[in-house]
Amino acid sequence: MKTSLKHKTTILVVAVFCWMSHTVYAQKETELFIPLGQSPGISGKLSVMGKCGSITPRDSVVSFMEPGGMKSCRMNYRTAIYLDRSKLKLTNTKGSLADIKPGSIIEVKLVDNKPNGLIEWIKVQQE
Amino acid sequence: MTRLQILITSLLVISCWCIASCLSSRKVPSPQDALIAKGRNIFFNETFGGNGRTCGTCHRAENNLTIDPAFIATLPDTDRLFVAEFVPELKENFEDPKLMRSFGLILENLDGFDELKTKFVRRGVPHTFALRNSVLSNAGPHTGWSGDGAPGDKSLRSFATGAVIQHFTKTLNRVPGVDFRLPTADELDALEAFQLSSGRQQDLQLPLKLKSVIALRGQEIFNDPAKAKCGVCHLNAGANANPDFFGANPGNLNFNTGVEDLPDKPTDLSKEFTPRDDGFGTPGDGTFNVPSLVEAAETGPFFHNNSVETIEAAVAFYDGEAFNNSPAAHLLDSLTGSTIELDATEIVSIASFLRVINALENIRQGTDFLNSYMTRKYLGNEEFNKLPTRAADEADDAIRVLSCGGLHPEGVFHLQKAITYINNSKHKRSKQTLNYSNALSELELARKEIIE
Repeated sequence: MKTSLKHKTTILVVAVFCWMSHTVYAQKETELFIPLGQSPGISGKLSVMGKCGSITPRDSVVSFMEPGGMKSCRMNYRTAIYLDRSKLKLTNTKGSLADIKPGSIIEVKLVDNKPNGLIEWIKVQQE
Repeated sequence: MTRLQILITSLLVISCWCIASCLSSRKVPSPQDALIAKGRNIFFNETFGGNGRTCGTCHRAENNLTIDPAFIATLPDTDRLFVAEFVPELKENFEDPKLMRSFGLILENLDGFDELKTKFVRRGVPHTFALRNSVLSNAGPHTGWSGDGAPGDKSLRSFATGAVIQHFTKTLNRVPGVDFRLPTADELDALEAFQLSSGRQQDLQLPLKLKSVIALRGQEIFNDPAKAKCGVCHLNAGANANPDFFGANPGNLNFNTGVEDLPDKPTDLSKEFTPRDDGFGTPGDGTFNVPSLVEAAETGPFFHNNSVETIEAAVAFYDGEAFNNSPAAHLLDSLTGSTIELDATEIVSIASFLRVINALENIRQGTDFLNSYMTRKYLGNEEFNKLPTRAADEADDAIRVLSCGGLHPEGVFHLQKAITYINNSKHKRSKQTLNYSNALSELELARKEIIE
């Protein structure tokens, strides 16, 4: 009985450990300085670029036009908003929802690349 | 035609024939070798329009693709490693020259660039050998000390982009196109190919038939899940976890082993402000990446913050309070039924085992370099003309790791002879082939001293 309990506890500990390994986000801080469309392994493959259509601040939803049509995605407190000011020869900075304006060119990367999922980061071009 | 003209013409024809045959005997590089060679050139020479640093500024070819305080002390003050000392724009919040020179520590803004004065970590430079065997994980690609060193898709290919932004910049504005340029897709492909080609391409298959009774005992304890348990996280002394404990193909994992809780870390003693390193993620979860151990003995200091200088101290860490109170120790307890308890002789035997497998890797690598040179085989990851010198470097590394552990004096003797033969070949080119053959024989004799 005691052994069985210990065995189950061990399996639980390893399972929790493996789950944690899968869910924690990797370091993405230098991503801030990478201009729109240049994120290695992401841009052109796993992210979408388009023109921002509308923002619904109450639901933190951003709609944007991509080649396949209008797409809406949701942000949460972990979503990073990067202001790409590289065309202005200025340092890129972190932004807020208020910096995303209809008509802005944006690049959106979704968490785990799931369609219609949460936004992991969104880059907004500043010109 | 005079006799002289005939003689000159004949000499010219013979010279051309010699040159042509020399060129044709060098085997043509495969497309992959050419890509690796391109990656090597970028790794050691490309500054990406930044402050003059290259990847090779910290990952030195002549120092096992890493740097340590002893090596740093040999560099001139003008070396680009020290840009924070002579580039006014990088004087503050870029590096700490004092800690870099004393402890080989590099500054990284792993938790963001918004508070440069207070938000940073100080880390050693990990070697980049055997990455082919260590970057893959069920949890996604793992790069850097905490497994999260790359932006983009977090892969080894993307790592260089983050490194350029962090370390190559001319100013702390970090504006692409002004302070540096980002690597192109082709450059990233080449850099990845080069990095994957460095060092071991396969993991060892333990147990090895070692001749030293101390190292042999060390190997037993290393792999014993009831004793040192090293093999639980370092399968075959590599960087991957053991499937017996973590399920099929777990690959490279992260653990919080309590290194940050060590008392009297060099950074603590230096009194320089050093924030706690929170490891993987932002904010961090306190975990760090499992490194490969085959190359460990020659690439100290050890752990992400260069806490300890010797491989013996690194092994002893797992018998201390910092480790045994850590989340990793609790996990190990639940997996194996106990934590780690080691006596001094056991610590030394495990370290001896690590020294011996490091020396065997040096001998394998050195032999490979010499054989490639003699057969004129093209290796993309090494400069062809430097292969004999690189072979001598490997033999020298083996001598160092064995001698410092009082191991295999006969083997050390053969390694010294191998170096002598390689050096002789530089002075007597007519006997080059004989000298290299003798050097290869000595390397083989050294290997036979160590393993059956």
